[in-house]
Amino acid sequence: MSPITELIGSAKVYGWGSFSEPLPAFESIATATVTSAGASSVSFSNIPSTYTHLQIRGISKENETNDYPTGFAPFRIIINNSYATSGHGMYSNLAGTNALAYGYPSSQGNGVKVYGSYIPTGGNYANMYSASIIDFIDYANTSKNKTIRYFCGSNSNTLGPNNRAVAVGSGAWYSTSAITDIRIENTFIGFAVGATWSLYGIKG
Amino acid sequence: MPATYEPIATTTLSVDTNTITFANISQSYTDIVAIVNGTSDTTLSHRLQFNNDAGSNYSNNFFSGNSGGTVTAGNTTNDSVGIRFASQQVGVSATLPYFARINIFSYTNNYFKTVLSTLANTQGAGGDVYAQCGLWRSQSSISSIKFTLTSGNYKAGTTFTLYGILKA
Repeated sequence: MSPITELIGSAKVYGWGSFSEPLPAFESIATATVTSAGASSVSFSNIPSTYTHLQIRGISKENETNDYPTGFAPFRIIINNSYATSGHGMYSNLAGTNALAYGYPSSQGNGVKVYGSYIPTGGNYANMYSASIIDFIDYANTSKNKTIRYFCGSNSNTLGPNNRAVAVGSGAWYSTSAITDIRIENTFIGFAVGATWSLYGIKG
Repeated sequence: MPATYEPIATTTLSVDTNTITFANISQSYTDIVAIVNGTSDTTLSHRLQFNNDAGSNYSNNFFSGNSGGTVTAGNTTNDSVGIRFASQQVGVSATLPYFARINIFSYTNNYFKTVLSTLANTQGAGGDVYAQCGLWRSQSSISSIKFTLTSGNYKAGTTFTLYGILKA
């Protein structure tokens, strides 16, 4: 195996061979990719309860050509087909000043809204995608309600102030049921081809 | 066959160093996670450069908060040094290291590369936290990652570690 590091200055470097065994606690479960433009959701179903936490990592893009359409709503996380989640967090984009905080109750029936994700298709936005990391803590524990955490962002260099955003947020699903189904949904515009999310299980 | 989440390489500096590069990165994973834990002798921004690309192909947007209660948001565009993954307030303590986690998504595909990173830095009674989204406007697969400072050095003892994550 060729070394994968260069020596710059006096930095000592250890290559691939120094790690004898891969870490077994983080496993890939499934990947969902949008192959039809405008698809409104992707889903992970029949999620096994054999892990302690779940993480979704992905890149996304909206099926929309406008810099930022009026009334845009961020994509959201729907758990076990329930929209009854509350959420809060903070985000910033170049359309506003500094960071803004938000919050909403479960009675609004929104799912967990993931801000900071908007990147349109076409033209100067070709090849650009937003990215997100979504964590589901203790997802199979039947003695607890469920906590979700996300980190999401988009950057388009100089294009569209709303397409340069970063957000961190939290959600709560008021159920002690194990999470068996996660749907990532964008009913406003739909996703563009190439939007992809991967589900991972973390053993505790 | 790589495991789902495994360490690729790590480096601990034995002397103060301005730049550290990981080259010939395996193309077998989906995402890369880089962890930087250490100190620097400058408060100037830390940059992440890919494939030795010194063109104006980097940009980011961020928000940060410091111990003085100030929240700041901003951006950089058409940067030729790299993606700024830390605020201007990082560093200068020899005993209180900062911690940066840098997520590089789909680093081998033919899209532009999106980066999400956070940095936690407490310097006694002061410090800051930083979250950013960066973009490298290149469709090339990432084969090298360079951590650098616009001036000054990472201090001896600073550790840089890369992990690979493989999707199903």
